[in-house]
Amino acid sequence: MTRTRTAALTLSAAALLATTACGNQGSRTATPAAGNAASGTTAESTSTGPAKVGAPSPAGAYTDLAGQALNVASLRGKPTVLWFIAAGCSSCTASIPALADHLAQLKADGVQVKVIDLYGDLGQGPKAAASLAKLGRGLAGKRFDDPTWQWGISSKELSFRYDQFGEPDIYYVLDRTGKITYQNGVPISTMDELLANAHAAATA
Amino acid sequence: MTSTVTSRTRVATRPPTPTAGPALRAVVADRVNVLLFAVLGAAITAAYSITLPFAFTQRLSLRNWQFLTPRLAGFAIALGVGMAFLLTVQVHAFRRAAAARRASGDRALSGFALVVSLLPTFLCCTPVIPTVLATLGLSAISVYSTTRTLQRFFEIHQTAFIAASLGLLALTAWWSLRRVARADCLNDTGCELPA
Repeated sequence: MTRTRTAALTLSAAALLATTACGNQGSRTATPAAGNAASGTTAESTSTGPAKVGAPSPAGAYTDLAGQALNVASLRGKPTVLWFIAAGCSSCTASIPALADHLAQLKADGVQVKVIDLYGDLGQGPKAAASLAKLGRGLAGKRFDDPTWQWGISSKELSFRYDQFGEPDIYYVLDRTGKITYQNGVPISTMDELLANAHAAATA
Repeated sequence: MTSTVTSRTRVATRPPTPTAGPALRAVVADRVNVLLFAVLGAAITAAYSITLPFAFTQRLSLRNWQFLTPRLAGFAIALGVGMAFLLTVQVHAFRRAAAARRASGDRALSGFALVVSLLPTFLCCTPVIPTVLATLGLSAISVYSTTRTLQRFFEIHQTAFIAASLGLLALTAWWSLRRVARADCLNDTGCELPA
């Protein structure tokens, strides 16, 4: 009896671990490209709550690599992929070169990409910016300088609104009005969905 | 006085200490065991070669081989061979009724080794940690900072976790062999005495 219970407990722990981990994409995935019929709605106001698909993108400050203070609220007018990463995250490091391979396609759609380091990951200031640039250049090579994407460091407020659990490798697609039309993670594994939804946001 | 005599009698009648060597030779000499080991070794190594790089894609797919570094490949082979050997020994023990009843602790340990070896890769960049922390009732701010701290811990110590699970496998294999040897000592034909 004890033997059976021990084996069952071990198996249950392994299964729980695997299913929770494998199921994470499902929980992140929201409105697919086909469901974006309402994306033409103007998102007049700026949300202050957590980011949600179908709602206006919450405002939040970040700093670009040159040290300039910017805000997500200023991204309106151009469809945007807003991607939160962390330096030690394996899927982020795998996804950076994968996304770099598709910058030309995103550029053709008029989509801008913002790669934002999560608050508390590399710190703040010039030293953190240099570390992030080193990471990006190391993984994307010369494509790091492609103006289609810009890199920055998140404020606490921005990270909490878009990634409240501090789980890296989440991205959002924002349409021209600033409305969030799609959310997912791990671009290397969801590239087709990312490109389709970015295209949909650009053409809506 | 009586207790001293009893104690001496116990020492004199104790069976010989079983050693793992003869049990290992018995396992290796069986062709069914060798075949089982080869099949299990290939299958488990292939499974580890997909699960160990899971953190890169968050998917269980053949694409994970793209991220199989020499270090991860080495660990996949070592864990695959170790787990296959352990399972082979346990199947061998099962086939010997006397050992089968004693192998439960070994199976639990090998299952634990499996979980430990995969823990870092499944916890990196997945919602496992925040889900557990949120379930424990931590505030949003605590969940955010604790998640980052724990994920970084597992990222940094992945090699140590896999090495520990390999050590656990080796220990369990040795333990299993000793159990098989002990079972051999207790059966009708007895066992080989240590030199």
